[in-house]
Amino acid sequence: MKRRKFLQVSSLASVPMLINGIPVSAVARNSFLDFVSPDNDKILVLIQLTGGNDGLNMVLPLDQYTNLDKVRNKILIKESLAIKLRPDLGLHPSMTGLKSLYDSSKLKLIQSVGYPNQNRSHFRSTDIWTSGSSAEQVETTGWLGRYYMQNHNSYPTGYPNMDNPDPLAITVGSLVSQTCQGSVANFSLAIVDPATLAPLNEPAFPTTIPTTNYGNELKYLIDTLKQTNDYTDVIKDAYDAAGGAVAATGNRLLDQLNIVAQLIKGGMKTKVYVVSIGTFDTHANQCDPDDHEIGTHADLLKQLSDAIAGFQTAIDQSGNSKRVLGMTFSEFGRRIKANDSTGTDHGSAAPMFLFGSCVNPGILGNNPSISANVSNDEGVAMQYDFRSIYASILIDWFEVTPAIVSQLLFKEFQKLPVIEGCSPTSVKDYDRDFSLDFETYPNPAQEYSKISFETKDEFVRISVYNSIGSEIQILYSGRISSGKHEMNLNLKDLESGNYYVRIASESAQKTKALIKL
Amino acid sequence: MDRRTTFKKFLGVEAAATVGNRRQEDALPVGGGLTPYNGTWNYATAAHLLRRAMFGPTHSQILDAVKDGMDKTLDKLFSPVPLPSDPVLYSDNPIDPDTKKGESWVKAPLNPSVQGNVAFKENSLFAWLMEQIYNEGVSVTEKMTLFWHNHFVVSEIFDPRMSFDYIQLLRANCLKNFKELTKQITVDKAMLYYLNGNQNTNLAPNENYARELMELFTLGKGELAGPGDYTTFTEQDVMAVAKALTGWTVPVDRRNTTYIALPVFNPNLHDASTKTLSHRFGNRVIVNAGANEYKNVVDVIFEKREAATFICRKLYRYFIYYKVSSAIETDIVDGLADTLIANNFEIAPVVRELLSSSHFYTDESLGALIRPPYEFIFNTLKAMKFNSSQVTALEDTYNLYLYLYRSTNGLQQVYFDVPSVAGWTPYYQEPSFHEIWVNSVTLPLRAGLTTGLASKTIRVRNISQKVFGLELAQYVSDFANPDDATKLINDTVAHLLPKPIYQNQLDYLKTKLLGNLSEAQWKTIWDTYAADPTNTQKKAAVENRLKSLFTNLLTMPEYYLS
Repeated sequence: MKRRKFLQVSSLASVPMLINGIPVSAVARNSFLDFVSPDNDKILVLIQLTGGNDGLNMVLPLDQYTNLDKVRNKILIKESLAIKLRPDLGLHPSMTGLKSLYDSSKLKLIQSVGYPNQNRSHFRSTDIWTSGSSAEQVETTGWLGRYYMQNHNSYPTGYPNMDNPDPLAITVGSLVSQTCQGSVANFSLAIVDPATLAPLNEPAFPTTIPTTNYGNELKYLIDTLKQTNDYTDVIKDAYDAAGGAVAATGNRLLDQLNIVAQLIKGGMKTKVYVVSIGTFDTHANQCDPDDHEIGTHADLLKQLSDAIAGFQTAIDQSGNSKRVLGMTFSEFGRRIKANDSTGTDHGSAAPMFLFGSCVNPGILGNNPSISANVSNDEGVAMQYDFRSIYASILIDWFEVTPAIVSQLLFKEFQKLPVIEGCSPTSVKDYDRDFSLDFETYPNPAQEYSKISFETKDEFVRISVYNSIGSEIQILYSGRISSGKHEMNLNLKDLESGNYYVRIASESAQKTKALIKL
Repeated sequence: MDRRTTFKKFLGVEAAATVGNRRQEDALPVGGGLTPYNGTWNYATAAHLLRRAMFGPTHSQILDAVKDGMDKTLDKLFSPVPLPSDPVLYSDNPIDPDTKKGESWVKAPLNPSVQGNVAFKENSLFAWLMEQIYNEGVSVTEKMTLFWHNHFVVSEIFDPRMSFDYIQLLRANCLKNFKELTKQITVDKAMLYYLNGNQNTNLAPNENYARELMELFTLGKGELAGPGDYTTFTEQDVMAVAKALTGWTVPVDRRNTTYIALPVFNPNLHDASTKTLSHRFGNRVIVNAGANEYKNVVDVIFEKREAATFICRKLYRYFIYYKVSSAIETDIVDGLADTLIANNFEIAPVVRELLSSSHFYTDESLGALIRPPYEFIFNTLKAMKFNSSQVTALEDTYNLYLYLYRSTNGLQQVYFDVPSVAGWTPYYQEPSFHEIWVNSVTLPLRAGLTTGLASKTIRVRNISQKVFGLELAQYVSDFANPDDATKLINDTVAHLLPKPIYQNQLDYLKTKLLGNLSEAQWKTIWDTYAADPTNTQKKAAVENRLKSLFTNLLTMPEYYLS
């Protein structure tokens, strides 16, 4: 359908749909409507690293190098070759692109992001990350899908329309992203190459659609066909306005991001773009056995880093710096210990990057602590819950009220200072800005240990995690008065090994290792 | 949705306007459950069975099935078919010192000095796979082979000989014993490579296969019931099973030229300890049994009922529909699982029970499945007389099949190119399942393929001077009254579309067939052609009109359903 045509139809259709001067569509919508800013013009670009990225090989905690060398020397890169962001923290040597973003205050690194009770299945853990749910909850809608459902309850019926002429979200690739899955439809449109889009034949459709399974699927097919045609026009217009295709770069991720950059430049109002790169599932031959700085993972990290840097340049050049925020994510990190196949198996938490002119630049979180003896199955312990990052984006980027965000994410999560205005500031290290700190003593411990900490008057959850990322003891969960506190840790029933104490409050999330002898 | 439709619906005028507009449906039964279907047996029911059990029945195959009745048709579908002959070298370029053109390469050395040897044999394997689907008879074999490929995924070619052995294992066992197949696949060379079983040793267990064996191949993953506890199995079980499976190696790689038929068990790399499973397996122990231990592992897993329900649910989604309500879970999936267990995990009785159930012939199933890419493309080719017979030379034939292999690339379903060990996303991803096959990217590709085929404009790499497509005049000749525009449309719609369509759609198709012609004029040009079918001008006259009809019919959303 041509743009003109649907504009006409939409305005016609809106005439009878008024009750007391209020559009019916708005009445039928969720009552949260007023809280979701309709004029927000911010764009979020998600980069999915499929397969589970080895975060410890991407961001090296150099203060832990001695122990890292003990447990993953078959794959560990040389300390001297890491690109240092701080004396105690380095990037993989192939990530020069991200270093330049870091230097120009456009990169935020968030350490050890995961969720309680880490699931090590690719599929289940991908579902958890894309749905924004807990490990215990099976949720079929995506976290951004639920965000869209606030304002676009009837989608896809009636879309595109005058208020929403462009696709709400776009997945570059052949399959739509689960992050944008709503309860009825997926809010993202899949595109591979805007340059080759052409309108599809629209044959005669049935006059009524039966309420059978056949009817359901037929309706889905008809809607998809019409919507494809409707959106084809607007995408082509935007792409052409931006100057069309950018020459292939040999970096498949950058090619995807170049399409995104062109569509943004062409004026599309699409709010979410999803691209992906993989596979990071490096069970074997993660690097060259003789030269750890090269190989599969190094190539992937280089592609990722170069692509982000190239994309940021394009966004800056088209004058959209203040509208675009990027985020990387992967379903899990990998084991601390390398396996015998010059690879790593499925693990737990891993670092994430946010990038763009509006990030609060720098590094958030502590270096993970690596002990000299890690069990075969030990992953990196989480510090930040990934839903804290989602919450921060929804609140600070998409201007959704905290009350709604806690509904979208099923629970309240601490908002992190990751997005704060768009003017370049000096690189800050936020670790030390957090008031919350705690000690465990004795550590290593035998049967008992003690944890001492100081809080504000706030909600806290204090728990013990095992080496595979499961929350095995909850010491406290609830409101706590301000001041200094002490709690006893009973370790009697725990097997010897590495454990992690994590405190999550409204204002901070911290994790520390605890060794049971 | 069309805004005009919405508007009409809003005004409540729609229902009135379309009453009586509906074509008389063949009386299709309503009912359910696994009790054998004994309702009307007609063209619609026979076509439904063959469409779901095969990759594209011809009109005459459906007529035979109507005549044979359901039971005899099922007998045909489930009769064992001999394994196909091996794929062969199809060209002299490159020259392979170990294998001549026309000879099987599946046990021959893979000589590294031959440039492109691996890719060449991969291509031969890919083409051969397409040949099997294209030439399937009335048999459920190819549908089931694809089912198992999507289930026991191996998705990279490490050595084409291994991949061939793997796919033959699936095909040979596709209707046999699920438990036995699980044992064999556990030590299959390609699987050992794909899920790192060949690197799973007592020194460093690699639990990739152990996890997928339980999560994706047999038990499925239940709710998270506690730390590392997925109800059906736990993290402890993953580690224990990984240990039990240590020691299997595949002593051949790309650079090795000799063919090694079987993987090798190396006792020095096997963990000889006693492995203790979690409470989910009643804390069972698996004692050291060396090279036979994997069989004990599979036996223990198959003692759990989930080993039956999980695969039956997957078969249900594959053959019927993706939504499994609690009623379907109880009435169908559980019943199938009972059958599977009662038959000691023989698969054929279960699939047959499903395809002959009353439920299979209800509106919960009829027309409700979005055709996966292979079914979509092969239905068009096989049901509508693809002109493959114009090539007969070995090299051309393989090149043509290789074209077919590549044609589904953008449609997201390609043999040996499965996105992950979980299979093709539309077979498992909640909540959309098979709807994922169809989106703004794949729709234009589907339309492009059928339009190219109906227009006979397809050119195939390395086959010069020939264009490929559907022999539409021959195709419609198989029906009783191709000279009658109305009947021709009714009959081909009944053959190609899963359900009757509306009068406005039939009228639309008629305008596409006739163009500026009257029905009488259509009869005249048809009769002229029929009297002299080798006359290219007369043929072109009818084919022009048929091309217009079918390019449009094949882009109807109804054609994407089975």
